[in-house]
Formats: sequence, C-alpha cells, structure tokens
Amino acid sequence: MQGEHLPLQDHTARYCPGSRIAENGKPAPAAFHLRKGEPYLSVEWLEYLGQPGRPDEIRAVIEILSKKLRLGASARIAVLGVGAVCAHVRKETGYSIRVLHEPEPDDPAHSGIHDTAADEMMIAELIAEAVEETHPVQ
Amino acid sequence: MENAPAAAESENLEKDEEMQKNLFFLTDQWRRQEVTHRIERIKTCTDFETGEKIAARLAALREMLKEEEGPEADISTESLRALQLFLQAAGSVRSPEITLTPEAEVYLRWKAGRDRLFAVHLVNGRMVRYAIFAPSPRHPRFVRRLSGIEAADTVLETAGNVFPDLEWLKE
Repeated sequence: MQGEHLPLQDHTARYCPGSRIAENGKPAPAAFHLRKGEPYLSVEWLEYLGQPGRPDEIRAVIEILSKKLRLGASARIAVLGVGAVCAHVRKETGYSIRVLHEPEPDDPAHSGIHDTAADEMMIAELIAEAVEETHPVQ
Repeated sequence: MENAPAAAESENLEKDEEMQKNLFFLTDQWRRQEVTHRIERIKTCTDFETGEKIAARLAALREMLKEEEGPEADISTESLRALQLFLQAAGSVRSPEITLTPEAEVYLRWKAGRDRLFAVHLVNGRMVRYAIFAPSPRHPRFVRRLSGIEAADTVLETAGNVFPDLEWLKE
C-alpha cells in the first residue's frame, strides 16, 4: 500500500552504480545521496518479492532494475535492514528517517527511504555504515 | 510563387537546426576536453604520487559514469575546479577515497576507525559541503558529528578546528 511503513525486521536493496562504489568494493555514502528533485532514495522491498531466499531476492531485484536502468559492470546491490538503518541514524544523529512503500505499476516492491535531505551528507554516511551485505549485479 | 516564403522559412528552420546541432556538438566537445584537461591538472596540485593516484581514479570513475549514464555524461567541471583549489590549499595529504555523487560531483573521504571521518563534497568552484566525525575530547565513546558548507580552499581549516591535529589525513 502506498505510503505504508515497511516492517522493521524487513530488508531493502539499493542499486549503487560503480561510480558510487569505493575501491574496496563497498558502497560509498554518495550512493545514498539524492539526485536533484528526487523526493526519496529508491529501494526494493526484498520480502515483498516473495522469493525463498536472499540469492533469489537479489536475482529478482536485478531483473526489475535491468528494465529501468543501464546496469554497470562494477555496480553493486546494497542490502539494508529497515529497522537497523533507521535506528542507526536515529541513535547517532537524532534524525528520524522513514522507509515507505512506493509501489509502481511495473515494480510493486518499489519503496523509498525518506527524510534524508535534512542533513544529507551526515545521514548518507550513516546509511553507508549500516549496509549489511552487497551483491554484484553481473 | 505563393509557396516561396514558406519554402524560405522551412530552409531557415533547417539551417537553425543544423547550427544548433553543431553548437551542441562543439559545446560537448569543449566540455570533454575541459574535463580531461582538469583531470590532468590535478596531478600538479599535490605531491606526484597522490596526484597520479587521484587522476587515475577520476579517469576510472569517468569511464564508469559513461558506461552507466551514457557517453554524454561527464564529471562536473566546476567540481573538478573545486578539487584543484582544495588540493592546492591542502598540500600533502594521503590519497582519499574518491567517488562521484548522482550529479557527477567529486566526493572525497578520509576515514580512520569508526569515530574519525573527514568527507568533502565538491559542489562547485567555490562551495563544498563537508562532514566531520571526531572523538569527543571530554566524553569517551561519544562521537562529535558536524556538517556544513565551506569554501574549497578553507574547509581543511575548519577540520583543523575540530581535530587536534590533522596528521591522520597525511599518514
């Protein structure tokens, strides 16, 4: 449902282009910066995809993204725990970010991390710290 | 004869379109050359080894950007100008982690442990955004977190006000 809070125990996946991946292979904070005019950080709600495990969830995410974006060879998918990332930002800065369902007709698992613009650099640094796993896209 | 003005107008429109295409091509060519030139200039803004490393990393990021966003995408020339100013003012610093923001602006980052960070987002020729994480001198385990806007050539002075010494950026 549009605007619904994702359950805190669930996970999201964010596409991180190669130009926003550090040389050590980890997503850089710049991967969690908004483009001009973007209202929130786009993510995919993994549990919504109804796949049996993480590898299948990631495969499903790549399939969705490949229809929308030109996926780079060095890009990665970053997995974030909903409750973990919100709690980390809240604990370290006092800012509250929200992860809401933002379904699209061709992408019903589409969701968004909201309220990162308040102090974007600091919040993006903390989101990058909260990344639980990363996966290659190719 | 009645169609002559219409034909002339159509010819003018075609000429305008052709001129616009040429102008766009030349502007694009100029921008590419400007980016190449500015990346080359980075090599001379700091010590040889760091300058070479930074220039090589920027060239690699530029390729990734083009692969992902199309051949017309390129690093912001204004951001590269700010990088030049920053490095000239910083002197000898160790090579930072370098990535690009969604607007293809340069993002530098130095990190040591969980409580020591200096990150600089080079927005345009004058302005940078920064984030600093530093251990609190009075409260063990408390991390001070600052962010703000500064000039490219003075942001390191701001970091110097927070960190007792900036040696960790140089080691």
